[in-house]
Amino acid sequence: MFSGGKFELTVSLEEFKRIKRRAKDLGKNPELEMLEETLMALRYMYLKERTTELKKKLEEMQEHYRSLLEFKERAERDKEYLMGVRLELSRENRELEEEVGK
Amino acid sequence: MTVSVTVRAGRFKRLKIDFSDETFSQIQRLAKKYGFRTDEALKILLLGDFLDENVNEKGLEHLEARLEDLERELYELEGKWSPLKFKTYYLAMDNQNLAIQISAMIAQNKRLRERLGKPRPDYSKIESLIHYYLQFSGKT
Repeated sequence: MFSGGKFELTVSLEEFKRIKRRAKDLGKNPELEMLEETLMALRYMYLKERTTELKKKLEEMQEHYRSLLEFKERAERDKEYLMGVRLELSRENRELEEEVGK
Repeated sequence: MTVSVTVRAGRFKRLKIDFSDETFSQIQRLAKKYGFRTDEALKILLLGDFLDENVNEKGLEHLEARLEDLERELYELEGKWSPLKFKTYYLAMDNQNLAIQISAMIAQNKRLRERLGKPRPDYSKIESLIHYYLQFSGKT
């Protein structure tokens, strides 16, 4: 609450001229309804912009997440394959060494 | 009671505008309701920079709900992201270690087969996989 107080506002010279022209009526007849509509519209625009940004960010992250998931699945399959190859090569090399030793 | 608003421009320009307490607190209430500072709302009012965009409370609420949903989705995805990245990194490192071991085993296999005069099998598939994981640097 700001009762019986003072409030200061700094504006540009151009804005000052515009406010001065409107000053007479401002205190007596404040256009609060229009102010509310304007604030509501500005809030709407902000939310719209923020929603668009977040949507884009989410889509990018989902895409990145999907490719990471694909990589993980590929790496799991590869790990299984590599372990199989290692086992097979180990067995074969042992047999070949035995053959060489004969 | 009134609230006296002093508008300043430059060093010397000053203008006083009085608002009733009720009007001023309404301006404050509106500013707070729509997420603005009092001086921002006051400036719009003083300049008469009004917009006529035909927005209603319902549209605003709908958009706020949509934004909350998006923020929640993003938060949930970020929560799943780190463990997946961690797990994938260590999986790829395991594969890199396997690739190093297999690379040495293939060299041994080639040498032994050569000594025994046996034909060399096609290692191209496994060699390309080895190459792939040896290049892995963790930048997923």
